Formats: sequence, structure tokens, C-alpha cells
Amino acid sequence: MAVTAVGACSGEGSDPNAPVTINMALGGAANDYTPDDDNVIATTLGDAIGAQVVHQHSPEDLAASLAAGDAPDIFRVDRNQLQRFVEQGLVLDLSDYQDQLGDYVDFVGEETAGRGVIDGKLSAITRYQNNVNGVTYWIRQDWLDNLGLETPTTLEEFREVLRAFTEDDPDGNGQNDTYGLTGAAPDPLFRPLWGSFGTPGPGTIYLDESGELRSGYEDEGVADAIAYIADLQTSGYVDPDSYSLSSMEARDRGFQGGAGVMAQSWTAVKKQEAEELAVAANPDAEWVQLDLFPTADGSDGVIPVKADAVFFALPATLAGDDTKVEKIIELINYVSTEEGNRLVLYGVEGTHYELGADGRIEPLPAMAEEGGYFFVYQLVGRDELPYLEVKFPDQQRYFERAHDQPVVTDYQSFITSPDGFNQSEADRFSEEQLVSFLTGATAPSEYPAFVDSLKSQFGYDAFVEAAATQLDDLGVRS
Amino acid sequence: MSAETTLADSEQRVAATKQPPGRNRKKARGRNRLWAHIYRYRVLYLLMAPALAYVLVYKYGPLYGLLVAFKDYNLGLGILDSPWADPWYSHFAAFVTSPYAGQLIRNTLVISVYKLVFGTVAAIGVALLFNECRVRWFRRWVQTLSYMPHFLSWVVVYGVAVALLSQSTGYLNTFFRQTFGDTVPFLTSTEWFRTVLVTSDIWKDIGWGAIIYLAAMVGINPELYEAARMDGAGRVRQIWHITLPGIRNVIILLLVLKLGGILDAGFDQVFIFLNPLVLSVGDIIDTWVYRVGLVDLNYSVAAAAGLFKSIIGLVLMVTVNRMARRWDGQVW
Repeated sequence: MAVTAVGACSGEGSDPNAPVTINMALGGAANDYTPDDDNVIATTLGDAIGAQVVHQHSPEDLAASLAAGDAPDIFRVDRNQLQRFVEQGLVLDLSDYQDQLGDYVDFVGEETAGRGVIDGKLSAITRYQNNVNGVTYWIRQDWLDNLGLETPTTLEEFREVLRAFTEDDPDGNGQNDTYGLTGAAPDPLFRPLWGSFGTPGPGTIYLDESGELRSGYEDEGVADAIAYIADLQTSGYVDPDSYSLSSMEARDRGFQGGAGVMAQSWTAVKKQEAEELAVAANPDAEWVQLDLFPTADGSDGVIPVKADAVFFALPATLAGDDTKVEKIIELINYVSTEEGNRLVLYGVEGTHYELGADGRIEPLPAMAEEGGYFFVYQLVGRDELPYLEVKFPDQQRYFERAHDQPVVTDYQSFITSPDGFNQSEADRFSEEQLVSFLTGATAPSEYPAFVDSLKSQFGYDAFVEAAATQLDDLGVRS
Repeated sequence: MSAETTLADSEQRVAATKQPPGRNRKKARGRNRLWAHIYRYRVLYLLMAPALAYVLVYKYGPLYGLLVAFKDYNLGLGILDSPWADPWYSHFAAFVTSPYAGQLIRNTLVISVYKLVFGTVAAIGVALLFNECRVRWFRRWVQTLSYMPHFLSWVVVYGVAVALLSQSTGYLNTFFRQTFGDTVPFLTSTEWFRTVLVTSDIWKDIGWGAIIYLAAMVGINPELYEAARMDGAGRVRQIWHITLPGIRNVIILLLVLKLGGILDAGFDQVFIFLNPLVLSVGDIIDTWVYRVGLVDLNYSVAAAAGLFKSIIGLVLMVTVNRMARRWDGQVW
């Protein structure tokens, strides 16, 4: 009797026919969405691979939940986290399954797939690399018109516009209650400015035109850029709260008429929800994008774009559970195929979209109505531009304008900290010092001394060296 | 009292006759007495059992986690299987040799001492005001309102602080700008940051902190006040000579207890108020531990820093408690 009971129990646990449940937590914005478990995307995905696919929010403390063994079956990590989790044996080694990941590798490309390798082991899948820019300065066209000013196209004109926005009462309410510039400082508030001084900005790790690896801290233009920004700050043209605001708070201030220029992504200003907010706050405001300003010698300015370093890993506790791991692999492959990728991008054919004659996606009304949550299943990412064109036809000119700015890829997010370099101490030091330069509290002439102590005292030299080796290993520099 | 003594005596005699003679006799007798004592007050001990269990399970049990401070903790291996740190103090060294250790300890102590001193004085002051207030309905309302903020989270308080103090949109600064044409960077300048921390902390907890002092004041014998009035003492004299001495022990007791947490400058509050402009005066041990220990998964360093704090707190508390015996205000 007892024997049969035990037998029945163990039989149940390893029943190959029992449906496998895959809990995935893709994190980021997906944490803000909680679609029904039986939504059409999840069920269609599940039917395609023969498993149940469940969207979850990322655990509050991922490390603890991995240690406790109750982590999701696929979870999001950045590269530093991935490295640490691999060191601690918390992440499943996918090397044995490498051969089965064909569709995924075809979709993201071999080089991108290789970025999930840590210490020679395939430890995570990497999201499709787009590296597109979304951030630009946005300016109040109606304020320019009120003051009879032209759209600024150089750094000098930009400064003059910020001055006028601060001092000349651009909203005509008779009160001194406006600033030129607002945003989360130092980044992204000043991100569009560095490039006009020939650098993507301090803290970036990038390849210059000749393919040489460079650290933004050591670029010649940084000191000049600092002097320019500090002048804006000490002249009172920058919202003094910038350093204590989040990007969204700053945007709302802009919408409410507190400042005439802000550094924002097009999504934060022109997506439908944002547009509605802007109109509700101030129906007369007309926000338009600014191009990057050219450098002193007339060449194009550039804006840094962080290399998309989003990884999805599996917990080590899945080792041995081949049925489940294989289902997860199937899922990864499926969303990499044209059919599967279309499903998680656009929904179900016939319901959410129709396929045009030339293979174009023609959205149906249901896509706009229900499509808000589809992205939480985009496990391998997406090709950004065609996606945006289908999803945001009304915003096309805004994202194209942002994408059209000359960019430099910043690989900093791909570098894992070497021994002898304490990331958080160095970050603390450079953040504090940079802010001190940018607000004019420290003179720009002190800048070289700051870089020296960052390198010697905080081991940033070791970091740059490690960056060179790691980017070579990842095949970025070849 | 006498019955108790005889009972205990008789039990001792019984125990003595049962025990074999020798060195253990005295010890065994003590043990028996303890058990007899527990048995005698078994109902009271039973009542205490849940609290005792709570302390054991949630306070003493987790102490074994301190091992993490001496190990290279690996989440995958768990606490016991992780290798020992080499040398054993390496994680303590990581904290002490941090380029910011001095600044962190200084900031922590300064913010903490400010909060302790001004917070105590303010709470006593408010308690005195409540105590002197003779209009009972008014006093009850104000008292209730005054400890409401205690239940707000720091996120909410920060929201209030921004609405009031923000340099570009805050009410106070808007008033300053319109009146004097100038603004004060309350939240983003090194001169003001600690003041804002301490003031908002006092604002939040002033009513709550006053409760204990007020309770102590209520316990003062009213005859003392009557006698003082007969001798012609006014309100202020009565406060100085009766009320304050009457609650002296409570003041000392609370100070001793709070000194144990002198290296806790209030993580929640500082973390929320902190911004890059005020790191040099606002970064405290706990925010460092959060960044280096928890965000970067160096749990061993976090545990070492926590232990370091606790040991200093313990030493301080024991020392001050010794001193407090002089005024009869000791905790134990």
C-alpha cells in the first residue's frame, strides 16, 4: 500500500506527459504589466511549443530568489550580474544546448549570441542588438516664436536661447518662473551636448573612427564641455533641481511650463499617453526636436548609445530537468522564427494584423487596443525600426529624427569589473566629482587631476585594460 | 515573602539530601532552585513563552548569519559551505580601507548625533507643552495629529519636502524668489542637507517620541506640584524642579537605548533624500553598504559592515549604561 503510494507520487513528478510551465520574467518595463495568464499571446505561444508560458514580474531580490531556488525559469540580468551569478554557480550552463539554439542564433546573429558567453560557457541568451538613439533635446517652439527667436543650431545660439527662456519671460505671464533647461542631470540632461566637443562623454567606452578603444574620461574635449555646461549652470539657465529629479519628473516639469528645453526620449514626449499628458498640462505648448550641434570645426556632433546589454538566463536549479530546459529552448527558438517573432511583436494574424501583399504588416484596430502587453513575451527582442513603423505610425517622424542623429556605441555596459576595480566606489567618486565640475563648484582646469586619481586611486586603468581584452573576446573590436 | 523563603529553604534541604556530596552539589542545588522557581511561576513563564520564542527565532536564530562576515559568501553554496575568508578580517578591511570610510563614519555620526540631541530635546519640549495644556479636548486633538506623520513613509515625506523646499518649484523658494529675488538650495547643497534631514526627522517623529515622556510626566505625584504651588512656585519653576527631575530616569533610559543605534543614521530617509550634489555630507555607512554590499552582491562586506556597526553600538551602550547607574537610569 505504502509502496504503491510512493510509486504513484514519484511517477507523477516525472510524468513526461504533464504540461511544462515556463515562468518568464523579462524585467524592465515588463514589470509594469500583468496580463491575464490565459491571454492570447501566452496561449498561442504555449500551443506552439506544447507548454504553458507564464509572464512574471522580476523578483524583488533576484540573488536571494536564485539562492532559495524559487527564481523564474528565465530572468533578466545585466552583464555584471550575469558574471557574478556564473561565479556563484547560480546560472544554468547552456553550452550543452548550444547546437539546439539555431533559430535564435540566426535571428540575433552569431556575434550577439556570443556575448552571452562567460568564462567560455554560454550562460545567457542576448537580446537582439539595435543600439538606436531615442534621446534628443526637445524645445518649446511656441516660446521661440513668442520671443522672436530662431531654432538654435550652434552651441552659442543654444546658450542664448536658454538665457532668453530663463530671463525674458517666454510664457509672458509677467513672472520670473521659467528655466532654459531641465532634465535628470548629469545624464541624460547633457547627453546631447558632449558630442559637440568631440567626445561621447565621460564614462563611455567606445571605438573611435580608426577602431581604437577609447575611454570618454580621457577625451580632450571633456574639459571644454564641462566649462560650457558649468557656465549654463552658474548663469542660472539650468533648473537647479535637475540633480535631484528623475527623468519623468523633469519631463512633467517641462510639460507644466517650468522649462523650455529638456533632454528626453521621443517615447517620453510623444507616445500617446505622454502627448495626452502634455496637452492636459498645457494645450499651447509645442515641443519639437533639436538636432545635435556641430563641433567647433564644423563636423557633426555625436550622441552616445549604450550597447544593448540585456541578457536572459536560466537558473542552475533547472540542471537535470531536461524536459523543461528543452521546452525553454524551444520557446527561445520559436520567438526567433518569423512566425513566432511576429506573434510576440504584433499579435495574431487576422485578429491584430493582416499581412499585406508585399509582406507588410497592416495593423488592425485590435492591435492598438490589446497590443500594449505583447512585448512582455519578446524574449529575444526585436528589430526596432520595422516594429516602430508598424506600432507607432503617428510618431514616425519623431523616432526617425532621433535615430538619424550620428551615434557612437558605448560598450561600458558590456564590461565586467576586473579585480582591483571597485565599480561602486569609482562610480561614487566620478559621479560626485563630475557633478562638482558641471555645477561650476570645481574649475575645469582641475579636470586632468580628477582623471588621474580616478585611474590611480580607484583603478579605472585596470577597467579600461579589461575593457580592451573583453571587447576583443566578444569580437567587438575586430 | 516569608512563606516563599520557607518553601525555597525546604526545597533546598530536599535537594541537598538527594544530591551526592561533592563539588557539584552547590551547582546542582542552584539548578534545582531555578527549576523550582520556574515551576512556581509557571503561569507567568507560560505567558512569556511566545515572546521568548519570538526573540529566539527571529533575533537569536539569525545571529548565525554573522558567519557570512567571515566567509567568502557564495549564494550557490550557502552559508555553511562557503569558504572562510582569508584573512578572516578581509571583509572588515574592505570597509575600513574604502577611500570613503572616514567620511562615511563622520557623516553617520554627525547626522545621528544631531538627530539624537535635537530629536530628544524637541520631543521633551512637546511633551512639556502637552503636559501643561489644560484644555483637554485641544490637547487630545493636537497630540493625535502630532504623531500622525510617524506613520507616513519616507517617500511621502520626501514628496512633501520637495513640494516645500525644491529650489525651482517649492513653495518656500517661490516665496523667497518673489520677495527677495533669491532662492535657497535646501535639498541640493552641502550646507543645508543635514539640517533638512534632521528637521524632517524631528517633524516626522516628534509626537511619537513625546508619548513616552508624557506618560512619565503623568506618573509624577501631583502632591509635589501642590506643595510647590504652596511655596509660591510658578509654572516654569514647577517644570524645572518637579517635571524634569521626575522624568530624568526615562530620559536617560531612552538615551542609553538610542546610543546602541548611534551608527544607524536612518537608511530609508537618507537613501531617499540623497543626490549626487550632497554625497559628501549625506553618504552614510548604510547607503555605502547598500551600494557595495547589496547592489554588487558582496554580502560578506555588507555583513561585516553591519557587525562593525553593532559592535560599536554595543560597546557604547554598555559604557553609557555603566555611567547611567550613577543617576539610577540604567537599563539593566
